[in-house]
Amino acid sequence: MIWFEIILLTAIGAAGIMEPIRKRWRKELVVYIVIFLLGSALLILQTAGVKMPFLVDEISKFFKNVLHLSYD
Amino acid sequence: MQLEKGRFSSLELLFLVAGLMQGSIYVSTYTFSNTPRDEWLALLISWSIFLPFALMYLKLSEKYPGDSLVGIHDKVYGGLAGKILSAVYCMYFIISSAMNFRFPSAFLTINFMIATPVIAFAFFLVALCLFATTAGGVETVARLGIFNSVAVVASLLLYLVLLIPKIELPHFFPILDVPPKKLLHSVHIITSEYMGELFVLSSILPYVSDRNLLRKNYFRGISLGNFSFLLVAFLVTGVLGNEAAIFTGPLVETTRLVEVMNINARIEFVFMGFLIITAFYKCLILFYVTLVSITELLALRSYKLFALPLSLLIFSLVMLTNENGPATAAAGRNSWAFVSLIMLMIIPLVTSFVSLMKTAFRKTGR
Repeated sequence: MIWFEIILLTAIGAAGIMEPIRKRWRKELVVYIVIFLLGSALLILQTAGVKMPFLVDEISKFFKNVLHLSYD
Repeated sequence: MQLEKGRFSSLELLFLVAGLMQGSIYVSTYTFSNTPRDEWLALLISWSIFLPFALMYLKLSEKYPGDSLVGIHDKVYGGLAGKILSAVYCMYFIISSAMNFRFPSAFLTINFMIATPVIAFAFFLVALCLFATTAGGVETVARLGIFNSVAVVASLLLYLVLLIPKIELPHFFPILDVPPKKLLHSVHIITSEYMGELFVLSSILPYVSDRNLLRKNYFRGISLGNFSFLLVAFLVTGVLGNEAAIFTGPLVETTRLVEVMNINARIEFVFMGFLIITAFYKCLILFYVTLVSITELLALRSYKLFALPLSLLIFSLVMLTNENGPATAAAGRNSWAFVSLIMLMIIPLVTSFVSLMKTAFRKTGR
């Protein structure tokens, strides 16, 4: 499953990356690669079963426990 | 900096505003658990509280015509502080988009297709948003609003006609027989989460072509959105009364009770279809705003280029927002209302104040 996902993501990434390469937009190319790698890494790690923090739950805990801003 | 060449009319803005508000109809369960009988009252109070804020959003946009949210922050707070604040907003938009992609997907899984994973629905929603933004842009996003709003209001009116035999007026009485804290909680959620999200439109307002009608149609849009909420409140409270507080999805339960010729028609899926369309429209607006904001923050040349990696990032985050459905509901009901209050109402208020002060100092020559 993970290998299939990696191959699929590589294909999708390669399809989208051609435009900044063709137009020689360096900054755009770097930002594209960074966002794409971040998204791919998160997806692959989830498929691999790696435990990661839940964003909204963590923000909620911060608001509740640290700022004491919560209705519960 | 304007990334779009396309423009849309203020009439389309009306439906854009209404569509963004109607996109929150399916999460109205948050407030029915607090004020099952006085939901209409909470809506009217929230409406009156929100109107000055809506005017403030418009004033800010009118003061910096042609500037989106990132541009406004740059001009009000200056280079570095403006960029930091815009980066915080970009993070908020990404998380909010992921949450909003999760809600309708979880809604479908919980109510209809229990065995299907949430991620399957989220995938199609993200893919649709990716297609709509890359193939069209702001014009397409605005144009879709008309179909969305008309369909939702028409379906709500249809269900109102079908449910008239089930509506009981005693369900609305006694009025205000609710603890003040619960009423305040409902008003808070409605104002900051359902209505406050209109602040994200600050990134779209520069693309309205006929600006002389902007204000009028913006407020008409808010009225249409609120009218839809009032219709929902009337339906749910009229049919379920106080029982609305105990259901996970009171709106779904209400539409399940439609009877035709004394036979339970089970036509709730028609209404659910429209609800999913509204949710998709809200996701589309949030996705577009996130995309445009990030592109503008990083001073990049095209936003369409980043639609693909951003959709992948948001799709990855859909399963990382909350642990499960109840956690999503609890976060939305309790803590997220405060996050929305800060991001969508307090910071814009401070921005308006700073902007006013800067103008005043400039006039006095200090």
